Amino acid sequence: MFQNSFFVSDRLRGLDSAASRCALETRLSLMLNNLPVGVYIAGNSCIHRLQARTKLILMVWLVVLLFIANRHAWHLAPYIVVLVLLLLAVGLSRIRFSYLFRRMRLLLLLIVLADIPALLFTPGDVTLATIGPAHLYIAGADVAIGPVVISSDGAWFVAGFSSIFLLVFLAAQVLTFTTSPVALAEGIALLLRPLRRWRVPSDELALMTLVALRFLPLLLDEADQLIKAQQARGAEFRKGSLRHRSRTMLALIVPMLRGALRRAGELAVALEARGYTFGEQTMRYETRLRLPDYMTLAIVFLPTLAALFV
Amino acid sequence: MGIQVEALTHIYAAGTPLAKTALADLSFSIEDGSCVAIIGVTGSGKSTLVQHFNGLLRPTSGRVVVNSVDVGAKGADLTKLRRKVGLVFQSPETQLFARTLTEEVAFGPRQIGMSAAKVARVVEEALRLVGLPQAEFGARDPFSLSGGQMRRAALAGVLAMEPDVLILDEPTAGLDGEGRAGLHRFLGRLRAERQTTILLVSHDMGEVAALAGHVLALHAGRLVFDGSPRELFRQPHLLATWGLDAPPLSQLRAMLAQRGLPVADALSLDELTQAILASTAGSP
Repeated sequence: MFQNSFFVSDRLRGLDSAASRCALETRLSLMLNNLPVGVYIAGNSCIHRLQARTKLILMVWLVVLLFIANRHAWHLAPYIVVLVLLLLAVGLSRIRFSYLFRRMRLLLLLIVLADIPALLFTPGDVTLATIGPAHLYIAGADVAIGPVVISSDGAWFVAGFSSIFLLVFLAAQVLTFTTSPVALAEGIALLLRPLRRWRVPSDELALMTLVALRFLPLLLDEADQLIKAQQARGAEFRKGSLRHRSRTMLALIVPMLRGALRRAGELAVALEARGYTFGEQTMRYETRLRLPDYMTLAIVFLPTLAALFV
Repeated sequence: MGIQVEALTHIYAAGTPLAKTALADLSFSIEDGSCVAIIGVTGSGKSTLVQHFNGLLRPTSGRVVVNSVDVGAKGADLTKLRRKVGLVFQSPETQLFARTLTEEVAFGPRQIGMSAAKVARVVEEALRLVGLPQAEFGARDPFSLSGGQMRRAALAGVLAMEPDVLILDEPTAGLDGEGRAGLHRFLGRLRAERQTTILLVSHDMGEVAALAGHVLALHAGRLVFDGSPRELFRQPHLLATWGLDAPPLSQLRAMLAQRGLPVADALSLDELTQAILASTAGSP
């Protein structure tokens, strides 16, 4: 899922921050070690206590809502309402803003990089004059490139999609920070259950999601440990010829694969030993929606719906 | 020379909500050629501590000096340090990968560019030390060995680097009695032949009593004891507050005392036998 890809890019970002300090191998270790394992931050705020389903439904609703809102250019009300609600959620969940921001820096950078060409080169039809064509004469003696026109369409395209990306990412952050992976998997399973009628293996899909979420940090830890262990017996991951390096990589890849297969086997045995059978599972965290859940749903649905029609 | 640690503090994930202080303000020193046990329950910071000795981790604050190399200093030659300080992680058998045992042990020496002749020599030597003679085991597939043998094979991989300091993180965890005895025999041989400094991370007090000349105890990231094993095992109540068991011989001694036979403290079975004979000599 896309959650995972952000998670990985987050870890890769740690690579840069430590770059100036250490050699590559040590850097790899540091990156794996100094980053939190898993994105869930345990807590007991009212956002933490909501059922995962509530948060998942709202997450999906936000995506749908923002894309509907995006069809009308410069219709800003929905964005503002969503931003206010998300900031409220962040405040209530007691996640530090600075920490949140640090995780969003990479996305911000990517958005800015993607926005510049989109802003400059999106052709506008009739509306281009409304912003006022920004003429940019690059004045050599003879060479005059431009004028570059920023169209209203271009500006809206950039503003709209950047906002959607940021808001959805922020929402996803709030979701994963405040929901344990197990609760999340259960929520997904419950929400997909109606699909069982069409033979969609919803609970199995949820289990796979959970296993992936749970095992990714574990495997990263194992890789970290292995890098250290091979270093301790002389491995140099950076030096030498291609042949030498491929041999060194083998010392990582072979034990990693063995480890992953062993873990998978152990997990399968453990699941069977505890009586896991295919089909509908009993949920541990996801019970029924209570008053706070319904209230949250209402608090989000009503203003966002209203904002669509303002 | 030796190892000096001054006011060492290590914090994992510093600056995030998940920051965790693993080591707090540790100071001690270790002499060349000694065998030091580092004890403490799981999560007390033992593994974090030993990873500072070859520069896999750097101090958050404080200093770690190994063989006159300041591990935390900018530009410290960690590659060279790692050749001098061999670190064997928990369950080292998971890092095996080669097709034959000889290949496996030769991996490190080849990586650091030893000549073929020297590689052949150190591999043979390392395999002999761990009790898997090359003539018999050299061509074997490492994965066909028993658990204890696999662990000693992984150890040979580190020994082939001819380290001055050997750090073993829970070397006997998960081994049976025979595997354990084999490992202890090997450690004895290593100390006798090479005068290697050995740091032993363990929570098996029997092992500590049998092998170590000095003990460092960690509890919740703090150094709570720095002295001889004899001194430590004389105070079983201390061990209990750190969540550790007294070694079996000390427990036996305590039981004897309870039943009215006080004997002098002892670290080995022979010593205890002598002590019991001595204290019963007078009576009929």
